[in-house]
Amino acid sequence: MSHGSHDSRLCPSIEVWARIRPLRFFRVVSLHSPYLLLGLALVGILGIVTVSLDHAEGTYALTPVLLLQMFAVSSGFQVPARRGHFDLLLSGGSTRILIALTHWALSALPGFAVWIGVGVAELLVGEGVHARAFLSGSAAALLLVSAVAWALTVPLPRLSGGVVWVVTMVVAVTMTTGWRDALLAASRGDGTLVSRAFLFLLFPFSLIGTSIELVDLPSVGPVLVSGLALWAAAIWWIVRADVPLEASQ
Amino acid sequence: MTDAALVVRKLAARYGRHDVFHDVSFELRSGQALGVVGPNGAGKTTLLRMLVGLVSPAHGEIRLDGVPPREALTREPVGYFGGESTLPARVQAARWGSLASGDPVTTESRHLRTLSRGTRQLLGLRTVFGRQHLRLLVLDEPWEGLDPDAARWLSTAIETKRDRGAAIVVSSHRLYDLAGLCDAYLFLAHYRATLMYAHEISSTGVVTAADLIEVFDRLQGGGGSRVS
Repeated sequence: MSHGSHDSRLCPSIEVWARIRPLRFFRVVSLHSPYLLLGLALVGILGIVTVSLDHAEGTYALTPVLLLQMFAVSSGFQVPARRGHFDLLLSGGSTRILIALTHWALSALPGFAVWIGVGVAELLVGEGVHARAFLSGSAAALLLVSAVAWALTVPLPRLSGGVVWVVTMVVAVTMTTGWRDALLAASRGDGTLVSRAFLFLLFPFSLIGTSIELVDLPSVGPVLVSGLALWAAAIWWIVRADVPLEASQ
Repeated sequence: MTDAALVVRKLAARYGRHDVFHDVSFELRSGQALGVVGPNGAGKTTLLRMLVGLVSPAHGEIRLDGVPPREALTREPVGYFGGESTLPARVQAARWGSLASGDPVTTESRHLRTLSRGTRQLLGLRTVFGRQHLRLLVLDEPWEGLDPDAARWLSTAIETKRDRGAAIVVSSHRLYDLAGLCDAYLFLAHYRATLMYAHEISSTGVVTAADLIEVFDRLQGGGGSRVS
């Protein structure tokens, strides 16, 4: 029994249907707390003022940006999805991979924008040279934080990635003097390959304002690759995940 | 071969080790509507989310135009609304209402959390109904919280989508609204599913709420207080 024909099939040449676009959706359903965005804007302005007053202070201007980026990029996916907040998007015709990539990109965008803002200010003040924001070490630190904190938070509540990272940092330096000494040695350029890798993983701030030399690759490379692998796993998780409603179980 | 838009075969759902339902099978062609009836916890919401690829079945298969739901979503327009509680709170109503078609369905500037339950429900429905050329429309308790005018609008809107060729699956406890709207009814109770076509429920083919209640009570084993 049929009550009618499918109208889009009657006129295939004019068939149009609008997918719910992830970019548009996440502009409406914001991934960030307004307070966090305000905080990022403030540290960005402060950073620009700092490097404008003293060009050598770029590292100090970027450190709080990276700290806030840990929290800003920790936007979370599963919790709002299981409340049904993303139902319109997930059933709206866009592929899950596009949804996942857009979610990450927009989560990271405010931090990237502020970082670039401070970097451009450095470039302008330094007359085109020595922008610490754009050195390879700084870029690696920003990339690592933006990938790992986001990936950690995909199955967890908002801000979890940042909280986990900060707690781990505190635990690492307060737990044992052995750890602290090893990390301090690594920060001075001494220490083993493993301690340097842990320093980069736990304190990515240590890379701000540095250039990654060939000699650093054995310690920095595996951490970056691991971070990107975690990011890829989170993307895969979003692509495959079931999204039952919290209330229906 | 079948010309069904939606084919469901031996579907089963589980929460952990707990069986929710099993052996759910039905077919739905363009322009047909299926009503899903069952007590709370029978798995209606889970079934509906399976149809749109948000949840994977523990067993069985779903095909929308011959392909699994997640794949079908990228090829065919599908509408799904899970109720006002699924709308995010901190979103301006007008912006949410423009998500589906680009055209605003309301000029309301307040955030969704400040609206009444019924207004949120109506906005959520109008947003989904704003999508054009729907191949499949899945609605979970759509009449909940609506005032009589809005409820009448919804029934008419469902009929319009159905008449334009959408296959429709709608769950509801409000049997007075559901009756007469569907070609078939799926009753979920005691972990089992019973599919009945309108002509099997009523000899005239016109199903009333009283018919649905009678069938449901029979399937429930007598006591009729769980569904109203």
